[in-house]
Amino acid sequence: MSGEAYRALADDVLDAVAAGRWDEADADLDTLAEEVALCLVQDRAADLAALAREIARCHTALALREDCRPEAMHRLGQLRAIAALVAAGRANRPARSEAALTQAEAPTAAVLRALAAGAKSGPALVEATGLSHDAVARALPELRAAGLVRSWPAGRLVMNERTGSAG
Amino acid sequence: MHLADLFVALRHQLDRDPKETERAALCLEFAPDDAGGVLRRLMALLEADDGADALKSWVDTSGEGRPLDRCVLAAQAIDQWFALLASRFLTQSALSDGHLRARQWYKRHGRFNGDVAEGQLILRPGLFDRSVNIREVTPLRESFDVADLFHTLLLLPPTLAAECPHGEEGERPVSLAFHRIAEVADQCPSDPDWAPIVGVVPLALAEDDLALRTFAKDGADWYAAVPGDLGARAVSAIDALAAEGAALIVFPEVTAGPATLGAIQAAVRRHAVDGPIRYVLVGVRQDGEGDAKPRSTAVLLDRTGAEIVRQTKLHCWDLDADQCRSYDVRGPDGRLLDAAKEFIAPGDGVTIVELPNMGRLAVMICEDLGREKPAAWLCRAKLLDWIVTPVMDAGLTEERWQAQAGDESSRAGSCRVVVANSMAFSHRFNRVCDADGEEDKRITDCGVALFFQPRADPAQKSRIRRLSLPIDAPEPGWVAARWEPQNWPELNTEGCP
Repeated sequence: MSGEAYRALADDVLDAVAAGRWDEADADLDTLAEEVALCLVQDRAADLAALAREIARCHTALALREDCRPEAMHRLGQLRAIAALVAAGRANRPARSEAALTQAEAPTAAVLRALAAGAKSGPALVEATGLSHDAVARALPELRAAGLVRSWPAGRLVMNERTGSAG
Repeated sequence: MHLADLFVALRHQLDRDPKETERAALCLEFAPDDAGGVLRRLMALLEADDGADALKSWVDTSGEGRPLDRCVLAAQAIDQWFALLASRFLTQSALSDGHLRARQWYKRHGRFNGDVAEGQLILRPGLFDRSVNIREVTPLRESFDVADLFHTLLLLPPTLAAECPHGEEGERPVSLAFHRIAEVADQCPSDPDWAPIVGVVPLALAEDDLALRTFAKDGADWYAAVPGDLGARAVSAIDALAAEGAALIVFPEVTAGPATLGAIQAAVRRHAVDGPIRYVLVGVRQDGEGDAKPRSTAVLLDRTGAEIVRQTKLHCWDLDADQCRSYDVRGPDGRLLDAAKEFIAPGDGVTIVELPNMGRLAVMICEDLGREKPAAWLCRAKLLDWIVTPVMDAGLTEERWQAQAGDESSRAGSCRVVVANSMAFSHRFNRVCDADGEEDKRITDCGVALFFQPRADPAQKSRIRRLSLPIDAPEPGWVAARWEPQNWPELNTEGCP
């Protein structure tokens, strides 16, 4: 999908609301919501980013018109709800597949290899893998979300161990 | 009892005896597998509907370990229960009903706990830390802090200590508040690769743009910084920075009065729909009502120019004899002053905002950045994504106090720091240099912005970006850079004053 198509769709919502063509506005909002749902399901990050820009732009334009007709406010609220879905989809990512996380050169794979000998804290993983602090700090949350690493606090440390799922 | 309220109660017990809490923590660090075994049992308790009651009962009646050991473990189990809400990565299974209710309460109230008088129990990681949690891979701090037992939750106290103004003895309480801002967002600050463009507009480019008025009152000499009407210049800079793609624009301390602020708001609003600007922070001199002192404030605007939050400077910058001489601060009779107090009413609160388009941000105006309290507490808590600091000073360099304070805050807080300065004081400094025949000390390349990227590895140096304008030809009157610290030089703080 191209950014131009999203821009045109958002502009059509704006025009329909400005002209009070509520059926057309609702139809376009439906189309927008369906496209968002598709992007989320298909994990199309770039398209989600483009949609986020257009929805925020459209919402801002409508908000600045200060059109207080209940019908306009209703569509403004719908746009906000769609924007919240897009933002949640962009802020919360699925972990990559186990195959991707265990590819030999991936930092996540290095962390898993280091944990093969037993549980380790974050600083111990940095030392054992030779990776940067940043790389280990990025790897651990994703490995946990993928179910490959289990963590628990021990005093101020966070200990990490491989789960049974980590082959 | 809700889990969050049980956590707050347990935290208070731990805070009452930090030495004993430290002993308990050290025991757990010494035997991490034992800690893991107990925590697995406690997490199983929390999965039941009456989890909080069951956990409280275990703390109160179980014979395992010492009572404070059980408090630590129970609080850590609760901290771990909330961890699902603090990760950028989606879990493989659905959230429980309890997690959903906790998230709903947090979004409504900006805290997990019920009673705000106890403080605000919030997610500790800022938006960036939810995908790159640096805290858990850095070595333990030498000094023990109870808060460091918890990686997901942070209890913000209702008040923090700040220094009293003008060197008065003792401390005073200032309120601490956390606000989640709900707005439509198109930026993604939790993405580790997100690299916004940050712009700084020094605005006061000449000495007269920011007048220093002095007067005697109550047996002391005072100064007040009064900005000119710089609205047209501010508007021009905003237009240019919008064309550059700036997402955040910062104006230095007290460079705007109400008229300039109004012009800035109107200009930002013009770019609201199609422009890149998401937030603008403006250092505003706010007149006091009646005989009240003015305030040095920083006003945060959203993309439509509407005010989100206003932070008042907490600490006064009182000038000593050397500073009066360096900046040629004279009384109304032309006499060079040997001291001058800043004529402002200090603020009585700190507000942290979580911005969907920027992350978690605190404003620390000039002196506030360098003071131990409350800035150092906020940094140690490692809860911020950004500190933004508008200042009024001579040109920024990598050797002056702002570099040291910015670096320390960035490192201690694991957050990005932006320092923005005007140029009026540099002109004053140069005038004194000219009069003294010290032309070699003149500021020519005037630093107006410092950007700090924290180092993740304690063995490495922070990265810094200094942006400057020629003092005699400060066109275009603004600076900007994309946040790409991998291309910035390392900061060498040795030799900083």
